[in-house]
Amino acid sequence: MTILKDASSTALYGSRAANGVVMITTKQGKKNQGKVKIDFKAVGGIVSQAIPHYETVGAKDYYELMFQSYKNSLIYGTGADPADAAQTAATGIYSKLGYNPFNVANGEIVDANGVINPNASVIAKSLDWYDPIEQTGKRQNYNLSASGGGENHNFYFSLGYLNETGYVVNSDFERINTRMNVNVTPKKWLKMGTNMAWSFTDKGLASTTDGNTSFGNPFRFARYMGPIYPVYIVDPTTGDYILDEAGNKQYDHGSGYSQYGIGGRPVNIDRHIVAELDYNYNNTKTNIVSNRSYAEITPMEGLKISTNVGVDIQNYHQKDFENKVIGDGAPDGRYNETRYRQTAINWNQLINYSRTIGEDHNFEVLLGHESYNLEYTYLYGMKSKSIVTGINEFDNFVTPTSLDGATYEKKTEGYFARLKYNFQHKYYFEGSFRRDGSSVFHPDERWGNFYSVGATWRMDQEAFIQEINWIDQLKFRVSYGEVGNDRIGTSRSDYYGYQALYTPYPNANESGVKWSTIGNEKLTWESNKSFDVALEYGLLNNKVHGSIEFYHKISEDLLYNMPLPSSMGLNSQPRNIATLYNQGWEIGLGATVIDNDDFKWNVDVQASTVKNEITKIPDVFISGSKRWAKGHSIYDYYLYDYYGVDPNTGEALYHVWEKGVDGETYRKYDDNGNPVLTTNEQESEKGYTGDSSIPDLFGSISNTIDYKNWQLSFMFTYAIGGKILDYNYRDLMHGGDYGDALHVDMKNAWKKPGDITDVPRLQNGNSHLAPTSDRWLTDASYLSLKNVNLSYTFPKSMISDWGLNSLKVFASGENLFMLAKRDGLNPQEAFSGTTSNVYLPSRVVSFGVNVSF
Amino acid sequence: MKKYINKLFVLVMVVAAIGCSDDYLTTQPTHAYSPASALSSPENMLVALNGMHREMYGQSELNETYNAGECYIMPMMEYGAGDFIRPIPGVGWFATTCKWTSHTDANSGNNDWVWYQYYHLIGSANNIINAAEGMVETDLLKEVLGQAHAYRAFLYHRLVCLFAKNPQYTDETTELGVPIMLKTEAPYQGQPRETVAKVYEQCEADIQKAITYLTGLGTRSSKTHITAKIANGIAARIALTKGDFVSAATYAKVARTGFSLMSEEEYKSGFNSYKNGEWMWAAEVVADQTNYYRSWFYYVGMNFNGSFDRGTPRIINKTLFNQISATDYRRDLFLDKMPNTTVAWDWEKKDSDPNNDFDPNYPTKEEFDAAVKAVNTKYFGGSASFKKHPYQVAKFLNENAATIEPEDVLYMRASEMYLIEAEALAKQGGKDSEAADVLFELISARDAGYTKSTNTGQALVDEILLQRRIELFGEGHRWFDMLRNDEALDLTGSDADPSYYLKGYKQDKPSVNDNWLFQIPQSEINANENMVQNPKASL
Repeated sequence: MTILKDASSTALYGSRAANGVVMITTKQGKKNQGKVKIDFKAVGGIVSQAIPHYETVGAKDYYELMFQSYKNSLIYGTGADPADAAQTAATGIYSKLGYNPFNVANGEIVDANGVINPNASVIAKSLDWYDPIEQTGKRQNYNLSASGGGENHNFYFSLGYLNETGYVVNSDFERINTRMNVNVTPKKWLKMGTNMAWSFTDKGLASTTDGNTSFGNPFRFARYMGPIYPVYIVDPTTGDYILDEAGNKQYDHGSGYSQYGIGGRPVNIDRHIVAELDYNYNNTKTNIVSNRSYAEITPMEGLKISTNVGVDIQNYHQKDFENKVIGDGAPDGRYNETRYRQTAINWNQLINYSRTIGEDHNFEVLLGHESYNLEYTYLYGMKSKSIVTGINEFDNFVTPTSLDGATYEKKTEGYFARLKYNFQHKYYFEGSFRRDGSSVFHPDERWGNFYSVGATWRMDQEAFIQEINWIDQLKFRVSYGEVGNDRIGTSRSDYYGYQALYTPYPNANESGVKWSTIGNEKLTWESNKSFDVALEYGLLNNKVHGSIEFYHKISEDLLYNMPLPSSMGLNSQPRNIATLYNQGWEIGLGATVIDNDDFKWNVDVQASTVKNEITKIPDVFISGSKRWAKGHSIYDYYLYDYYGVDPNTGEALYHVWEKGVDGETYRKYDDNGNPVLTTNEQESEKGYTGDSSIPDLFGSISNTIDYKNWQLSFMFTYAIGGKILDYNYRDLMHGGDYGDALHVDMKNAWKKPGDITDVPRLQNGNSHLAPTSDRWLTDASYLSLKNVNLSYTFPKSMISDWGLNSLKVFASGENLFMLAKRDGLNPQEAFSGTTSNVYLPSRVVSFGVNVSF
Repeated sequence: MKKYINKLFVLVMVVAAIGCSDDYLTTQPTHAYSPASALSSPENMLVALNGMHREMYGQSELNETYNAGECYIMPMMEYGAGDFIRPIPGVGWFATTCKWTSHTDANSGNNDWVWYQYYHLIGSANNIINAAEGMVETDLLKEVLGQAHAYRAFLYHRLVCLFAKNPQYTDETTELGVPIMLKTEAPYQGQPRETVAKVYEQCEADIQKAITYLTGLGTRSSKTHITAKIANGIAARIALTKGDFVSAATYAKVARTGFSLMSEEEYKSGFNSYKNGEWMWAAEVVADQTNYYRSWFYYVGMNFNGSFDRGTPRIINKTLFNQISATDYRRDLFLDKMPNTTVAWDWEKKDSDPNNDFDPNYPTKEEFDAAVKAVNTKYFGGSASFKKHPYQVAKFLNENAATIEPEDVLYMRASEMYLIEAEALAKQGGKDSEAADVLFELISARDAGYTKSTNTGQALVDEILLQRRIELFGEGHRWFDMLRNDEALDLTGSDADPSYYLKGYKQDKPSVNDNWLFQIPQSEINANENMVQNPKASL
């Protein structure tokens, strides 16, 4: 795998390379006098969750804190006398929360001082909601390949199988894949080849990718469920399970069971993630066929005429059944299917001519044309009322409630030319030019021109360098290149970016269309202009090697769906919105620390920096927790300024941001220079907090240690600096919503006048205690042990008797360890620096064997 | 060197020859049409108008929660307004509306929704009106333009009611209303708020045009369409809100003429069918265009089978119920003796515990259980999973009990026009007997024991407004009525829990209390530099 980072090399790949090119060179057979080589690899492992859960309070703390919430809502919400409020809250908090998991009476769980009854102990079973949805997953992975070749051909063939059960129940994943790669040289002047890959995946319960806030999301559901609610129906008096007639535990739907004296939860009523995972069915099958074929003729020496055809076909079929007992499928059960096919065809025609003139002048000229056509066609349907349970097909359902389908298409075309020249293989020059057209843009704005230039100086070829013994490799390169980008966002309708559109919306039996997009006929290519300069080096017999690189990448006429005032009737429009740059250093250092016959130790350190700044933006706008304005980064947080807690009232205080004449906001101070504070954050503007989601430094550290036939390698990744806006933590630090879980930090909440703390009081119904503000910005620095691998390669002498070429056994681990500011936090979740209820990374510990003959 | 250049030239020619044809890069969506074709003729504009009709009640992609137009907005106008009450917290829908922490919050999704939905429809109407410029005014074009103008009037009126103070108790020439958008075009610069007076001028001009265009046209093919009578109904609402009582009475009378009043049987049939002869403007929702759990009845119904309905019984404010005459059949829609299943009664302690720990309407567990069983059969299709509470509202019933089948959506019916006419006559002064006559015509159809009112002046107005609360209960009018009549909110005696309702339990009247104002959505403020926020609520 090669990552092409310098500007001139990406230019050849056009708009699809706007974010860089990762070239994956697939394996090829070696010409091996007709011998066939067989490789087999088997790995088995166990899968668990890599990051711990957020720390939340238990039942006793929860009752004490919710007492505060209720009491304060009476005092500050309805104006009750504090002593009366405390009494009402002590006896009444049970009625707000609905469940009493203790062995004391409902009205005596906490006293009027808010202290838990000393006789109380938790008797209710099954209060942990993570437990029933988590499991120890397993992974099996097998790969078998055969390769070989003769004088005029080579081939490679592989077969792979992966079966993984994730650490969340029903998150199974299975994949079968094959690849075949054949190259033939039937004539001296003709080369042909094809690389065919096919894969099939079968995946359970896509609900884990469900919306961040949806009920069907297991992480959300278990994370925010208060610690007093049982998964199964339990007897309020004994805490034991109440079994059904068949002797099974019964899911507690939270809607109350008057026959058992159970009143119901205040949250997630009639929703139950464990039951829904149990009763629902969700399955996605995808198969992908991918082919790259080429033919190349050489009519004369140095001239190559070739064509490449790439075809990617993806077929997707998702079946989704929602049960009739609980959840959105109730009361009848419902079923939907999504099917789509995506076909992408890329075809190019190339002419390449290379020639050496004299001994020193090496030329290469490339001319090319390419066309690209992406077609996505889908069908979605839903029917309700299941006939019998367990058959997940449309025929088994009665009433159609949706049937949609459409085809989306995107095309691009490009012409390009490249000239390469080097002198004595010391001085390299390269220039290229592309002209690209895209169907995303209006015919008048459709075509863009992009060029690149680059130069490399292989200093190690110079006599004066070759005289220096300790330098083995020294290369200096500099390049500038432009690449067009026509991707606006992730929506399929962005394929028609410039067009204003009405979409079908029938009104009962009458045809109807609705106004859907504003379009923008001025929309045109975003241009990514990269400049980079690098020094690559190998010193001391290549014991020390690496590179130092500086890059400056400008995104000009950045494409973005710009928010419009909703009073326009549609609230976004695709625009070439801004010009911004990213720049930074990338430093790589590899060193062979020890190099004996038996013992070797290599260290490889990577470190990068990035700076982002908007240099031009006609219309400043706010996007989530950020604001896009000139001179700022798109990763700079723009938030309310949380100031602290009023020691007298426990209210949250915000330092007021005030808008200046320049349209920017400034923290407001009174005449004495004291900050102007408010308890209602909406009385303030938002402002730049001075924090950014970009780390100061990030990279990796790898070690490889060889001892005789043993090898141990491990890699750490790290980031230093930068802030993450931890929405998950915010949602666990809410102002006292009955039924929702609380983070342990909430124990520091203000309770009485004089308390000095940074956590405001709890007060049900007060929305100013925990809104999004810089209070949730958290240091995003981390250190993660990404992978560890220990292997033993059997000596040739030992295995040749067995007819083997090589035999290796190994143990490996992924995501074994992570140091972060807070348990539960995944600092790597998103570069933009926010967290949500997503599937957390897996930790995999596996063992395997690799054999070839 | 020259021969290389020649060769290169040949190669360039070869590459150029295999270029694609000129229209290769022109793609047309299969899921959409350009405005030029969608609005190219009155026939096509009628199709665009139908899209708007659907957007009034259909689930929308404009918002992340896929709200369904008036299906969501009408309940929003009830939950915070004190007559339509949730006795227990239940499922969280409209919880913040009850607590008044929603419309007072600029970041609230509700404010965002109502603002965006209405301006989106305004923009859609503008597109039609602007595209019609220069077209020959055929009957078909009149039908299109009349409806587009009527929509604009309806929408601006609702916006100005929610986001600004009522002109009857504020200086409308200085009070800020909402921006008047008449077209959507480059440079897409957000507009400032116009005064309330200007917005009303726009509403009146639009509704006048609508009435002119629509009067004399033939019958409509769907009750979603706006006819001259509906336009008169909208005009009546606008005039009444503004305090122009003469016009209001006139418009209301024109609007209602030709519509019959519901019979008792129809009144008790669940408010679920557009076929009801009293319904003037309404949407028929068909099975394959269902709004699922964004349906109107999901929010207000009694036996729609959604978690919100099962877990959150809705009741009538007890103080209102007690003012309904015993002979009035509308009283039957509120089940004051509904067994209370929201509490886990401890029947075993009934005799030993003096705290009356059982449902006061049912002396024994057997009677209680029998009552539960009976209502389960009568209202819930035998399902036991719906919570029940005394004073529960049995007005909005699914045709097939305990299903999630989509029911029709009501925007306007003749009774409202009677009530507007009566109120407007009574408020004119000197027309009390005409007002009492109109009121009698309506109420005598609801209450066999009703005698013509002998009240005069404010007492008559109060009687009409009370009848309005009863008649239009739960239909999405109450919030607007409180704003219009400058009524304070006080849930004392209503069976609402003050520790749940909190700030939504008691509020001073709108003329002296900015908390009634909807905050302009923050998203609009962020993107529109000309926008000014309403005074902040003090909660």
